Amino acid sequence: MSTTDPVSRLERALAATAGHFVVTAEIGPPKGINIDPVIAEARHSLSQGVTAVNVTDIQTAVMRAGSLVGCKLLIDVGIEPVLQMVTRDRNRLALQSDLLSAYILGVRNVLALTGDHVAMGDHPEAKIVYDLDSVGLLAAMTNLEAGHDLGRDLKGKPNELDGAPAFFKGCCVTPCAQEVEPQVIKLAKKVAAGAQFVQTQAVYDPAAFESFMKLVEKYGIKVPILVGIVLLKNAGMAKYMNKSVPGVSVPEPIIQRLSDAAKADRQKVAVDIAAELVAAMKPMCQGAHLMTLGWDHCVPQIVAQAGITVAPPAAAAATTKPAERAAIQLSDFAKDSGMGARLIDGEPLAQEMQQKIAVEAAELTAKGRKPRLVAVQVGENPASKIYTNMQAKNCESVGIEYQLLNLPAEMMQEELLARLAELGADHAVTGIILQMPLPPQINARTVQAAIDWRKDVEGLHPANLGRLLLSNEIVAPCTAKAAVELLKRTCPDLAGKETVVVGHSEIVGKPVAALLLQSLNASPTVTVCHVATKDLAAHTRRAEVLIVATGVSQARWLGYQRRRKAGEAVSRPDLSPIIKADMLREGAIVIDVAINRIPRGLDGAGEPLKNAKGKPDLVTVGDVDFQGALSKVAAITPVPGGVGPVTVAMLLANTLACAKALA
Amino acid sequence: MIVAERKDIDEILQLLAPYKRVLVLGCGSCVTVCLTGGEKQAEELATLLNLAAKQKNLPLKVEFDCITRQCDREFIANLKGDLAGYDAVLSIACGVGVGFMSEQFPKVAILPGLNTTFYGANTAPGEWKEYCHGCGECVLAWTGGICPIARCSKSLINGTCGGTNDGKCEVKQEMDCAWYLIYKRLQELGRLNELSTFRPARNWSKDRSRGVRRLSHAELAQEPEQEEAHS
Ligand code: SF4
Ligand code: SF4
Repeated sequence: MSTTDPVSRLERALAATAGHFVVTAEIGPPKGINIDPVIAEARHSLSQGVTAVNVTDIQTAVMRAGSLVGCKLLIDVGIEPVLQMVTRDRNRLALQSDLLSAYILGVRNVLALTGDHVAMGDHPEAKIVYDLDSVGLLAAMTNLEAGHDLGRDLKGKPNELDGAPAFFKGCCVTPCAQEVEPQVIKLAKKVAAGAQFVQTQAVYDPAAFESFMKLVEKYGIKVPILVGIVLLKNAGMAKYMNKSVPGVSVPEPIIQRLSDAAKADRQKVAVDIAAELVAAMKPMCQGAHLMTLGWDHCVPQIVAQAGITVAPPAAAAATTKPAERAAIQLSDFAKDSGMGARLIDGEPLAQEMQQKIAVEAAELTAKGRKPRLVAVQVGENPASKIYTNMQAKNCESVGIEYQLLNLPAEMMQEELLARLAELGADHAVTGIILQMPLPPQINARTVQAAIDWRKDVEGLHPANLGRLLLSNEIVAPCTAKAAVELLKRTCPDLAGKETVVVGHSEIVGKPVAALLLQSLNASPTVTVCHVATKDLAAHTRRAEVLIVATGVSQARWLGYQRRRKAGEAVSRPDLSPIIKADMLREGAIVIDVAINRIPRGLDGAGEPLKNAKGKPDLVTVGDVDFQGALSKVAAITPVPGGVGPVTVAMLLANTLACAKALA
Repeated sequence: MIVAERKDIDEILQLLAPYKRVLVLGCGSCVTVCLTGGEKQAEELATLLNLAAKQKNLPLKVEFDCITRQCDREFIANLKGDLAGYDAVLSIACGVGVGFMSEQFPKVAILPGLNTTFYGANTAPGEWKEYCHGCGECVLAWTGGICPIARCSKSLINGTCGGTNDGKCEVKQEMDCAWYLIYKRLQELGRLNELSTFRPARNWSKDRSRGVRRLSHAELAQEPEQEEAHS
C-alpha cells in the first residue's frame, strides 16, 4: 500500500502517526438538477470538524444525479470529497474511465462498493452490470495507479496509461451481519486488493462492534476503520432499518428513546444517540462516518458531543501534489489565530497609522497649513452618504478638516471641471477626492485627470501613477498601498519571492505590481493574473505570496440579480470563492483584498437563503476560501478586518502626504 | 435441463391473431420434464385455445403434435403432418427448439409458446431452481459446487456482499444467499481458504459478451466448416 506521500487530507489524517479521531460525513445528490442547496448545506455544516465528505453513488439503486459531479462541486467549495463508486451500473471500461475522470477533476478518495441490487430501487427492470465486484474494483484502482488498465494490447501486454492516478482507496464492511466471518474474510481480500481505509455499515451495538474488531485483528487487517452511524431521525426509521436494511439492528432501548421523545426534542435525541454511540466506539477505531441523510446541520453537534477534538477540516482538498512548502520567514506582525494559519489583522496597523497621522497633522496645523480635504459629490446617493459620513469622522479623528461639496446631479462636465480648477487654485484646500458614482454625463477619467495632481489623495491622477512607476510617488492608490503595507509588515524580506497578483485593475492589481517592483534588488518576482489567464491555479499554486483582488463573487451576484430582475433566463451563479483551498501553496502568505457581499447560499428557486428575520442572509467574504486556507497557508488576511481598515487609514495618509508636499 | 414457463394465454392469442390454422407443437425433452412443453401440455393448450376461440368467436382452429426433440434434425421425420399445411406453428419447446425449427422451416411461421427461463433442476415436487447460467468458465471447483454466477443475484466472485441477511439474499427474503451457502459448504469441507483467495475480474467474453457461442469437435466435422447459423 501507500508508502508515498498522502494523496489526500483524509489519508494524512488517518495516518497512524497523525493520531486523530477522524470524522467523515455523507451527502446524496438530488433526484433532479437542484444540487446547489445540497452543496450550500454541506459548505455550511461540514466545513469544520469533518475531514472528508462522501458523495453517494445512486444510493439504494434510486436514480439520482451522480457522485462525481457532487464531488467536483464539493472541491469547488473547498471540501474534500470521497467518491463512492458502485459496480452495479458500469462495466470495467466505464469504471476505469470514470476513475481517470475523477482524478483529473481533483478527486483523491474513492470508496469501492458493490452497490445495492436494482431490485431494491426505483428501476427494478434495469439491467444489472456487476462486471467487477468491489474487490475487483479495488484491484482495478491499484492497477491504474501502477500505470495500467485491465486490458491488454495485441501482444498481450498490459496497456500503458498516459499518466497514472493515485487514490486513497476505501471499502465498506457490515460489522453486525448475523454471520460476520464471511464479511471479515471479504474485508481481508479488499485490503489485499488495495483498500486503505474502511467505512462501515451502520452500527448501533458497541458490543457487537467490539467483537467484530477482534475478528478484524485476528485476520491481521491493519487499515484504519471508521465506524458508520446512520442518524436515526425517529422510531419509525429505526424500525424500518431493522426490518429492511441487512446487517443493521437497532437495539430496542434506542427505539424506545426515540419514540418517547416529544416531536420537538426528536432531533436532539437523535443527535444524543449518535454522539453517545460515537463516544462509546471511539476507543475501538480510528474514526466515525456520519450518515445524516440530509441533516448535515446535526454533524457539528454530534462531533462536539462525542468529545472529538477537531481534526483537519474537510475544507482544503489536497488535490494537487503539494508543491514544496513556501519557505517564508514571518515577522511577528501576523498573530497566531489558533486556527492553523496566522491572521494578518488590519486593525492594529490602521490604528498605529492614524496615531502617527494625527501627530503630523497637528504639526502642520501648528505651522498654519492645516490639511483640508474636499470631497466632491455629484448628485445624491444613499450609499455614498454613509461613506462620506465615515470619511468625515475619520478625518476629524486625526485632525484633518473635511468638507463635503454637494453638486447637483444634472451638472455638466464643463462646470465640474471649472469647479475642480477652482479647488486646485484654492491654497486652503490640500486634498480633493471625487466620490463615485458619477452621473452618466460625466467621464470619470477625464475628470480625475483634471484634479490638481498634487491634491489627488486617491493617487489615481496620471501624474501620480507615473511617479509611482518611477518610484518617486507622493501618494499611491489606497487599497494597493494597504495590501502591500500589510504584506511587508508580515514578511519584511520579499526579495525574489514568487508573488502572484490576481486581478489587474487600475486601483489594485496594477499599482500593487508597481509598488512591489520598486526595489532595485529586493523586489519579489511578480506575476499578474487576470481574466485572460489560462491556468490560474497553476500560477496560484506556486505563489509564496498571493494577493487577490477580483470581487468576482460579488460581480456574479449583482449580475445575476440584475438579469433576474430584467426577467432574463439566467443560470445559478457560482458564488464560491475564486481561489479554492487546493489552489494555494502550503505555507504561503495570502492577502485577500476583495470584499464580496453575497448571500450565504441560494435556495431551490435561486433566491438567497434567508436569515432568522426572513431577510436575505448576506455574508462578507473575500476571494479566497478562508476556512480551507487556514489549515494550509502560513498567514492570511481576514475579510472583513484585513485590508479594509488599512485602506481607510491609507486615504488619511495620502491626504497628509499631499498637505505636507504642498506646505 | 432447460426450464421454461408457458406464456400467458392472452399473449398467445395475440400472437396467433393473424392465423387461422395453427399447430401446437410439443417437445419430448426438458420441457416435458418441467411440465410445460410436453405432449400432454400441447394437447391441453390446443384444447384451451380452441375453447377460447369459440368463446371469443375467433376463426381459429388448433391441432397439436409432439416430437422427441425440436432441437435435433433426426426427429423432424416423426412429425405427423406437413407443417406447411398450417398458417402457423406454436412451438412449446424451449427457445432452442423454436429457433432451430424456424431454421428448418423457413416458410412457416414458428411462434414461441413458452418463455425459456433457466438451466435448473427439480428440487421439490413441482419446483425447479436455477443452478447454472452457462457462463462459459465454470468456477464450481472452488465454490463447493454452488454456482455464484447463477445463484448470487449479483454474480459476485469474491464473496458475499453487504446485503446478505440471515443466509438470505437482499433481493428477496425467500431466496438463499449463494455466498452464504458457499461459505457454509466450504466450512464443512474444511476449505475456507478458497474463500480467501482473490479472484480477478472474470472473463465475460466466454459468457454472452462475444456474441453467438459455438462448440465444434474437429474430429467429427464432416464438412470443412459449417455456417455460423448452423452451429
Ligand atoms: S460457474 Fe458458469 S458454468 Fe459453472 S455452474 Fe455457474 S454459470 Fe454454469
Ligand atoms: S446477498 Fe448473497 S446472493 Fe444476494 S447478491 Fe449478495 S452475495 Fe449475492
